[in-house]
Amino acid sequence: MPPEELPLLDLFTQLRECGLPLGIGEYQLVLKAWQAGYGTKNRAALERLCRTVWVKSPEDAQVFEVQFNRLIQQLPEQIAAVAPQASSRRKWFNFKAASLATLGISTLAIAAALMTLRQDIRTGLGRMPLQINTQSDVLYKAANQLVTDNQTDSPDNNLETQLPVGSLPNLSNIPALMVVQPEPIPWWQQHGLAIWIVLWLLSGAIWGWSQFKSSQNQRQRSKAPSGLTLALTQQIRDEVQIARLNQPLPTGDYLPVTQRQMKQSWRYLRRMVRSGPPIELDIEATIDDIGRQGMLLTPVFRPRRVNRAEVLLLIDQDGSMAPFHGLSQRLVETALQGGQSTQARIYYFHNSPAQVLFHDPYCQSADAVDQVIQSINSDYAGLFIVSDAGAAYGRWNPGRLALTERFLQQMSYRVRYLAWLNPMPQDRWSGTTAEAIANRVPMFEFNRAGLDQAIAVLKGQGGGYP
Amino acid sequence: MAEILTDIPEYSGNVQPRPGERDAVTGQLLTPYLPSDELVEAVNLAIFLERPLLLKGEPGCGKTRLAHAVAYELALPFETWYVKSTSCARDGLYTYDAVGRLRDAQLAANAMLAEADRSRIHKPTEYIKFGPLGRAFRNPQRTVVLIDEIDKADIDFPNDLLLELDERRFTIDEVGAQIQAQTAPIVFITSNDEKDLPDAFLRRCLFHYVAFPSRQRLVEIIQALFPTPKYSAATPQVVNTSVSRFLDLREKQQTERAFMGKQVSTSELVDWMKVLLRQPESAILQQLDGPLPYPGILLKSQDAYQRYKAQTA
Repeated sequence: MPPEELPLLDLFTQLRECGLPLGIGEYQLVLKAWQAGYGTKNRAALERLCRTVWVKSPEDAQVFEVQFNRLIQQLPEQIAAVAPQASSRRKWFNFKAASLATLGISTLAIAAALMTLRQDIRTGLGRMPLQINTQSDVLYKAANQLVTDNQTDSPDNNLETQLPVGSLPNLSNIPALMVVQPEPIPWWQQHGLAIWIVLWLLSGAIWGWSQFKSSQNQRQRSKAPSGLTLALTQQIRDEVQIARLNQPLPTGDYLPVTQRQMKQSWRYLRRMVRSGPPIELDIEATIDDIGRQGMLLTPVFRPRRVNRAEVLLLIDQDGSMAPFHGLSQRLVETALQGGQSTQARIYYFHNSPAQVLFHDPYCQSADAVDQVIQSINSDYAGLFIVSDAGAAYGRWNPGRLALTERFLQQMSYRVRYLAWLNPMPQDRWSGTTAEAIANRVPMFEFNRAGLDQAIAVLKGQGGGYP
Repeated sequence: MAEILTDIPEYSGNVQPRPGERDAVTGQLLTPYLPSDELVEAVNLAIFLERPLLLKGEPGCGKTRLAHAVAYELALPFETWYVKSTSCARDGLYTYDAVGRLRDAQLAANAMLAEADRSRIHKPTEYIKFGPLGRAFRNPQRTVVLIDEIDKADIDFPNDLLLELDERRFTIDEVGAQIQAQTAPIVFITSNDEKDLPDAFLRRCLFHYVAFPSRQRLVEIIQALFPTPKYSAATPQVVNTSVSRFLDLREKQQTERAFMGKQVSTSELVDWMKVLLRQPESAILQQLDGPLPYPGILLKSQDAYQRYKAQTA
C-alpha cells in the first residue's frame, strides 16, 4: 500500500503547527523508512516509527500521542480498516437517500402546484367575464350616473353613453350560466394549494432532519479523543500548544509567550568575555612573538571566552499582578533552566521595588537593596523588571512613581542595563504611572517581540542604564 | 539500491557477551545488555535512515551502555566522545598541533631536529590529530560513535555539529583538506536533559526516551548479569524479593515528598545486587526482610537517608 493513502501528511502538518521542530526532510524520512518496511506491521509499529523520527522530547510525545490517535484511527491495511470506508459509504448513502426523498417530494409538490395552477387557469378563463361583469356593473352604474348627470348638461353626449348601456345585459348573463353548470373538480385539484404547502413543508422537514443527523454524527466523532486530551491538558505546561489542539484552556492565565519562545529568547542574553585562567593557545600572538624575538620562547595563552551576562529578574507579585503569576513564573523557570549559562537571580516585590527585595513569591524572606547590589558579580549585570507599573489599576500614583525612581537610582550604581516588561497592553499605559515610568526606562509589552526587545536592551543594544 | 539495502547491519539485541569476556581494545569486562523492543527498533531505524539517535532518560538507565552493546553485536569499531563543559565541536573532528609545528620549525632552524623528523615540517597534515568523529568518518568500515552527555557543553556545541552530522563531511582549515565519510557512522548521542538542545539540532536527530524497565525486564537484567552458576546466591527468590524491595523504594520516591530527589535506577540496582550477592541466599533474604540493607547505594542525599531511617525505625 502506498504511504500516500495514510493521513501521514495531515499528522505531520498538525505536529508542525503544534510547534514540533520538523522539516520536510523528516516527513520524507518516515516515507523512506515506510517503503523499506519499517512500521508497516501494524498501527503500533507505525506509531513507533513516526514517534522515533518526529518526536524530540517527552513533552512532544504527549502532543504526538493525541494527534496520532485523532488522525490515524485505523490502518487501512487491517481488517478494521474496512470500517471507515463502509461507514463513509453508509454516510454517503444516507446523504443520497435524504436528497432523493427531498427531491421526490419537491417534484410532487411542484407537480401539485402545476395542477392547481392549470385548474386555476381553466376556471379563471370562465371566471374572467364574471369579473368583467362585476366591474362593468360598477362602470354601468357610474356611467348611468354620468349619463343622468350629463343629460342635464348636454344632450350630445347621450349617444356615446348609451352604447355600453345597450351591451351590458348580454354580458351579465354569462356568469349566471357558469354558476348554474359547474364542472366536477377532483379533490387534488380542489385542495391543490394545501397539498402544495404540505409537501413543501414535508420536504423541508426531511432535509432539516437529515442535516441534524449528520451534524450529530460529526459531533460524536469529534468527541472521541476528549478523554485523552483531558489527561494531556493536565500534563502539558504549554497551554498555547493545547490551544492549537483545539482544546479549551485549562486555566484562565494570560500567556502571550510560550515556554519554548521564552527559552529561545533567553538564549540571546549572553555576553561572551575572555576571562579566567589563560588556557587557550593564541596562535597569532605566538607567531607575532616569534617575529619580534626571532625564536619561540614560550607560546602565548589567553583565557577562554565565557558568558559573563548576569540578570536580576525582579517580579512584581500579588495585587494587580495576580492574573500574571503564571506568566511571570514561567519566565522565572525558563530563566533558571533555559539551558543558557547566564546567571539569573530572582527577586520579588509588591507594587514597586522599595528598600527590600524578597527571595520568595510569598514575600517572606528579604534582602536589603544594598545587599542585593553588593552581591552583583558581573560588570555586565542587567536589571529585568516584570510589573504592570500601575497600568492594571489605571490610576496615577505619584508615590509609586517616586518609590520606583528612587529604587532605579539606587540600582544604577552597579547595574548597567535595565529593561521593563509590562504584562498590560501598551494602550492601557496612558494616563497611569506606567506611562511616566515608560518615559524614563525602556518598557515593553509582554509578548514575543517585547521580550526579544527587552533582552536586546539587557545585552547592551539600545543604550545603557537611563 | 538493493545492494545498499542488504549492506545495512541490523541490531537484534540478542547477542550478548559470554560471562567474563573482555573488550579487545580497552580490556574492560563486557556485560550483557537487554534493550527493550522499541529501543531495538529505534536503533535499526537510525542505522537505516543514517541519522544520529538521541537518547534521553533517567540517569543510570543504560543510555551510554547501548552504544557499546550495538558495537559489540555488530562487531563494528567503536569511538567514544565524552563531552565536557569546555568541549568545542571541532575537538571531535580534529585538533591541529600548531605548537608542535612551531617547535619543530624552531628546532630545525637551530639544526637540532633529527634528519628523519625534518621532512615532517613541510607536511602540515602530519600535525593533525583526528578526534572520535573524524576517525569514524575516515574509517572505511562503518563505525559506532557515542557522543556522551552532549548537554554538558556550551549551547553552541550542538549547532556547530549540524553540517558534520548532516552531510558527514568536514574541512580541515589548516591544510584545506576535505574529509568525506565513505560509510555513514552509527551515531548515538546521550543527553541528561540538563540543558535544552537547539531545535535545529533536534530536527536532525531521531529521538528515543529510554524508559525505566518493567519489573519483568529488571528481573531478566539481574539474572543476565548475575548468572546462577557463578553467583550461587542469585536464586529466583532472591532476585524477585530484592527487585520488589527496590521497586517499593522507587515508588516511594515518586509519590512521597520525603524521598524526592534522584530516583533509583537500573545502575543502582545492579550495584546493590552486586553487594547483596556476596552473601549466601538465606542471609540475603533475612536482610531484605528488615530495614533496607546498604541504603548508601540507593539513597543519594543525607536528607532522604535521615527520613528513611526515621520512617523505618
